Amino acid sequence: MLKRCIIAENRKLHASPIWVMFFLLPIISAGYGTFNYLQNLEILKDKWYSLWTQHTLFYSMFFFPAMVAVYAAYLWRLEHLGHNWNIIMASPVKPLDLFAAKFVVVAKLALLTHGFVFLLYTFCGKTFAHLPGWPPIELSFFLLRGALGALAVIAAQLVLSMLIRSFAVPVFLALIGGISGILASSKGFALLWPYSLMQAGMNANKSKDVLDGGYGLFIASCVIWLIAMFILADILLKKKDVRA
Amino acid sequence: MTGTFHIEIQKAHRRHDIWICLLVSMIMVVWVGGLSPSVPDELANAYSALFYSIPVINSIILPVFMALLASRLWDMEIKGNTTKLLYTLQSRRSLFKGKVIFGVMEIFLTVFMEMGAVLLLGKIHGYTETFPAGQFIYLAVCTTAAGLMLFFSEFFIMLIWNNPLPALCVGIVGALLGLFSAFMPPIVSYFVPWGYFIPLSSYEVAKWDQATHTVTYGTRSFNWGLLAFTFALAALFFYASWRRVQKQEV
Amino acid sequence: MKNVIETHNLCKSYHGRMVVDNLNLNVLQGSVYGFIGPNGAGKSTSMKMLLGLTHPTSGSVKLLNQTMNEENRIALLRQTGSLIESPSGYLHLTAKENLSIIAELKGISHKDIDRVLEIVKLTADANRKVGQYSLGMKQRLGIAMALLGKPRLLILDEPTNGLDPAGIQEMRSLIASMPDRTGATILISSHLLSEMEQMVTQVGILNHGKMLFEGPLQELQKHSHGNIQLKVLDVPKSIEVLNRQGIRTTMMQQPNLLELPPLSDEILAVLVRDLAESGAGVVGLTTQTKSLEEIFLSLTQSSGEVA
Repeated sequence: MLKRCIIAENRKLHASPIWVMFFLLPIISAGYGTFNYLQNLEILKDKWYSLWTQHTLFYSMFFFPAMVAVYAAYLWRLEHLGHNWNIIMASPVKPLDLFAAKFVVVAKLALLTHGFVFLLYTFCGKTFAHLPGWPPIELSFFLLRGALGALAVIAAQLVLSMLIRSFAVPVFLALIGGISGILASSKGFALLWPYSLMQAGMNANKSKDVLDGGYGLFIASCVIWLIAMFILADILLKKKDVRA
Repeated sequence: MTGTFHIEIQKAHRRHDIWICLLVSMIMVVWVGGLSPSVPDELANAYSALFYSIPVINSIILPVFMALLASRLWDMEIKGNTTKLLYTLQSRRSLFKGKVIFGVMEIFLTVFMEMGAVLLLGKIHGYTETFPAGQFIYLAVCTTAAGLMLFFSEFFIMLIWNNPLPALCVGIVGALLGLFSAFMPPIVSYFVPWGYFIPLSSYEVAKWDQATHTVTYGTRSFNWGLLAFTFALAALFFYASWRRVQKQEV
Repeated sequence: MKNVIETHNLCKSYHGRMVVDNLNLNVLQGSVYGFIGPNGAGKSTSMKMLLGLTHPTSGSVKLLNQTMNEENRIALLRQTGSLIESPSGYLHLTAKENLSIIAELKGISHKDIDRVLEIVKLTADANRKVGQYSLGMKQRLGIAMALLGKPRLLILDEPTNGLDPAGIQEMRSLIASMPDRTGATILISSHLLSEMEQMVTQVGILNHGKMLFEGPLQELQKHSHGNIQLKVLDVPKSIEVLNRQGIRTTMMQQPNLLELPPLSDEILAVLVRDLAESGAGVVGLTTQTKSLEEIFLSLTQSSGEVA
């Protein structure tokens, strides 16, 4: 059943202009990151690591949550408009499957974007920054961790967009979420707040690893938030019923 | 005039727009307040620090926020399929006027509360720097100008596609570009309207002591030329939106 | 009687394609005017031009005896209620709040809101958000909006769209009773002809942007004399008589049943006498009445005047 939902959700994304975001944000981010790296070579001495922070700093702090929010809001808008809700709730599908399908589709897109970021990072490192060798293996771990943290943000945005019948509000809230993530990190609560998890995972703003030694806690936090969001979604969907 | 604005207020019922406007200044209080200085040295140039960082915060938040305001304002007509009914009861000019007044009021409110937050922060944390009244007003005017310009550009985009998606995407991408342009050579920032808050700003870093992590701020002269250009751009997008409303098929 | 709506050679073309072609519409005061045509015939476009929502390529519109222009458009439309295509309404507001916005725009008292809610039977749901309404309820809200302020003219585009059968029946009787109750004139469009027969007094038939017929419903029904079915005992003898009189005859599936084209009463009387005299044995004679559908079909297919 879930599989069929996923296919349906995928179809909804086809022929939608949303793909532009997918390309544009990472490219802008990479372009700026490379430029800034090359301008500040005297301060940024950690080669691949320095380039990494430049590439992913703003991206992971503000714009990744907003981008994911756009994907999530787009998928829910289709249901909020017209009478899709009634049709969906009447169809022989568990409501949570619908949510899970949207999650899978958004996660897939977000992870693709993620991969694209890494690709651009490597490309810029070799082509423009002329860095020796290849990105340290550690960085691909950062990327994976970032992806794991991102899942919690995706689930949170899907809940928000499901609840709020507006396209723009959840997107704006995601941007604020990113800011709240920075604040939480700065106060040392990085592992307690979903919007900080991705930032912490990406390790975008520090030269030393923020998660040094804290992997277990990090993963546990990601999983707990993810499950919490799914449970919340299930409760809300059951309560919502065909009311809409 | 008041009639059409009054109707927009009725339409805004249950939309919590005021809270959303309040959110912007709340972010500022929490963000800036959370990272707020406490040492006497820093309190002595705290307003400068604040006035330096507000435009940066604005250039992150406001492009998306203006897209939010503009798209919400028109999205309710699209979702409700109402324009063709409204145009039998009021002229296009009258509906447009209502939207513009309402949107501009929201921008004023946002700027007003943001500036209020500045005063609040100064009070709470006991800034010892003399309050720079002239800079305060200049910042308010610049934020309003850039806000109006972004609002009308997003409104125009919303009118073209009749869908909030492109406006929001432009807002997000614009914010990213605007923020980056701030760290590029000044000339670059003139080509990125989303980030105009920063080149309009009259505060700059005068000295950064890498060892002690202390920053000294200085001021530069008001950027009247860019401010005038920002208003001109706002007027241009305003006019483009009005043409669009006039021509739009219903 | 005066015309409440009059259009003069109204045309609309999109990219060189004529959607409405020299339309001359005459809607009499106090009538229920059925504007009939298949989907895509140009009904909605015509109605939008009546409301000034779409600018005509050429021609003019006269509403309530005034030629409509940008200056007097809103004043004229304040006396008009309309429902075009899908219904309108702010989804985040209740029906009552929606109606109060419309009342504000029409410049009328809010007291009328309860009356129109009653008419469309939404009183019980008046404080629910329109976003939670079914399509039929939204449609009824749309009609309530049109009725607000007791307009002299109602322009309704397919108002029974999305209603359930009971709702359709209610809507029909409501519309049919409007002229007597409020003196309002109603222009109502539909592609369903059968539902029109029960409410309208005047008919305009549109196809490919052209008016094929306009006049009282009875006049249209006059054209509805259909074929005649003749049941006889002796078919060969009957055919002989019919051929002699030059009447085209078709054999029917059933034995002893013949079908003749529409004939005037005089000719028919003579024919029956001759048939009887020839010993054909006339058993039955039935005149079929064409349904509006058939009339319409014959009109649109020939795209000419009613024969």
